[in-house]
Amino acid sequence: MKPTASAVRAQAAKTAPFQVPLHRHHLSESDFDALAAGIADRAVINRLRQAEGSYRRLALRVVLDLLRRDPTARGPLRSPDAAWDLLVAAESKAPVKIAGLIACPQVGAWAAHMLRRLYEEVHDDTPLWVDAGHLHALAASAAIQAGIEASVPVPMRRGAVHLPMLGHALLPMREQWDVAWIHIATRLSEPKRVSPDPATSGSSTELAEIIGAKGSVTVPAPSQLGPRTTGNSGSWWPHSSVRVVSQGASLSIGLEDADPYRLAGRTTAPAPLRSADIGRWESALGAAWELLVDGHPSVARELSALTTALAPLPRAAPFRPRSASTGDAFGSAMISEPDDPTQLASTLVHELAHFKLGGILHLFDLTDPSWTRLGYAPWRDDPRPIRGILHGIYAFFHVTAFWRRQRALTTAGEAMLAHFEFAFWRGQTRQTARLLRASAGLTDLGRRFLDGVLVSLEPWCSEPVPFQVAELSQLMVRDHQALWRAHHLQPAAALVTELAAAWADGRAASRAAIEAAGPESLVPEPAVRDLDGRACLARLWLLDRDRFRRVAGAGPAREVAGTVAADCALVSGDRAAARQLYLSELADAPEKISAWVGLGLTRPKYQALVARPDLALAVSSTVAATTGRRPSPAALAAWLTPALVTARHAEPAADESGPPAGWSPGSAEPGGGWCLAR
Amino acid sequence: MDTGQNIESTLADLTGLDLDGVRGSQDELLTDAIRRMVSLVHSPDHRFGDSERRRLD
Repeated sequence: MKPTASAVRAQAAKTAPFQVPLHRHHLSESDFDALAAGIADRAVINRLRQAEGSYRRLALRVVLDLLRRDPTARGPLRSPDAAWDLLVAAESKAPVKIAGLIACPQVGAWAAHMLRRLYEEVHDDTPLWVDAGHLHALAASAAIQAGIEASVPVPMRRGAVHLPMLGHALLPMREQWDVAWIHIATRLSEPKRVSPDPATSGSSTELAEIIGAKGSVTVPAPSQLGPRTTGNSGSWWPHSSVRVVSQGASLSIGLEDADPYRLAGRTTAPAPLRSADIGRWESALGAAWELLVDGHPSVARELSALTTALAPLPRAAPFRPRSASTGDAFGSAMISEPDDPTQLASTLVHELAHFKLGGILHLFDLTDPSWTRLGYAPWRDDPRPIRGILHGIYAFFHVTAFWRRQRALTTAGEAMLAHFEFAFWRGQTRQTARLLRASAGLTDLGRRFLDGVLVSLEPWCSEPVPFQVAELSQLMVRDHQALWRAHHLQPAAALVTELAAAWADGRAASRAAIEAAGPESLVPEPAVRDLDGRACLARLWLLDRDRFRRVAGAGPAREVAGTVAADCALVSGDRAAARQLYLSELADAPEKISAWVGLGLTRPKYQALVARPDLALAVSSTVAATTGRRPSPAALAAWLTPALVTARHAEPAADESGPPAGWSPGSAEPGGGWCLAR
Repeated sequence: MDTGQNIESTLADLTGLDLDGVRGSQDELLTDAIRRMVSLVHSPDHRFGDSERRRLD
């Protein structure tokens, strides 16, 4: 069909150069440094949020450009420009509401998903038109919120129609991927007869009707959005949100249980929260918010300004809360139902740091995008890219600050746990920041950013913590490093062969051979999980002795997956018992890595099992293969340790959480070794 | 060292544009910003870091 003259003019107007000259976002050096050091004021945080508004609009523009070029993306729906026209109309009528809608984190997640999909960087089984058609759902939501009459076809996913920030409808399904129509017939500006009882409120409060092939449902006006409503074979589930207040400060958070793009990296079906679920989250957030406002007021202010949504996840194992966020969905995090308010507060602080750094990374390049090396991150079980390591440093810098303050706000076991978390994370974070600071994978601005982090972090590392806690945290630092090394690094084959031959011949292990050997190779073992088992038990030991004893008595694996009785003995300070238990375990399972490392943690003369468990395990296996006799782990450790430890350091200093100092190869080597290995 | 200078981003400030302006703009700064965004989409590090099973870090 030939386009009409008016349509041609309208299209030309849409694509004509816009004459308003643009400027670039910028930050002063002092504001950038303040953000890095975690001491940014409200104005800087607001500027970060404004910049994110630009980033979101830019992402939507790029998606529109790409959709225009791809006719297959339209499917049975209207053109992307038709959706954009409706958004423009809604914005002109209700600019503040539409700005809020576009700033919704899940809109950013959708836009990023579309970009990756349209550039074929990700694959999704969902038809392209269904994903692309979310733009129409966004426009329909905007029209409803602005009170604009319209009829809009939108994608229906397995019977679900989602309208961002409003809610979702569930309708009888004709086909897995289908079209539903949204008829918006009632203007918000018209007076409404609103009944307190939704059952008797009648059609005057209906805002829109969603019609599928086999059923329909009405969308009630905002004043009626509270309760779930049902229609002709369909149901409407309003968007849930909670608002908590403490000392006059408030935190408003949407509970994202239905948006298809609420979980990073994949589209997800609705999982509507029940009233009891919402109540529990409101209670947990209220208690965490009170704790933050009372004890961490500056963090609370930042949280209130930047955090807008939360995608609830099921409760996780004790001391292993799950949380995640992406730079795409600025202001939103996936968080498991917490064990207690302090854990949730800590998680919120962690995710807040990700939000801030995500925003900074949208503005500036802190890492070299072409840098592909992976390296050790103390908070992860798997080798990480440089960008992830940077994110982790910033997040755990904030977590360290949280626990530093928390130490003074709690007593007894909770205070001991706070000391442990502070001691554990300050050293891990500082060490990782120092290593990354020396990496060639950072830009100059990235190095400046880490300098800002270290300016705040360095002085904390000399603050006193109870000796017992410092010792335990250091033990757990070494534990994680050793387990990571054993799982992901492989020693040079020639060195293994030489040491195995020396063992078989009854010769001493050669320090010169170890020092002359090439670097270990990074061979990631993707399935590795839960390298923090002993650290979880250590936390329990410090927090609640009675509960710890119950857990130990019942078998610790029931509470902390992957742990054994020997681990309980180790973290509670009974190293002799732990040693015997680890040796018994190794008699039954000679290659069990956690037992090798655990044994190494029981005694200085076994330290080779902590410093180079990869090497000890490889030598043990090679000797077994070549001689038919597996060496005793204790004897092998005692044989290998003198060749690894230098005369200068027998053990790392107790307050230095980081890779063991004084060990020969494999210690922290900036830009190489296991910091950012290939 | 703080020299009192601004650190300029490649991100164009679109906060003054309405959605029609965002759609129609062909400003060079916007083009630059789009170029950077697209390069980030293609960056393996960006993909890896932003689509994680557990955490961003």
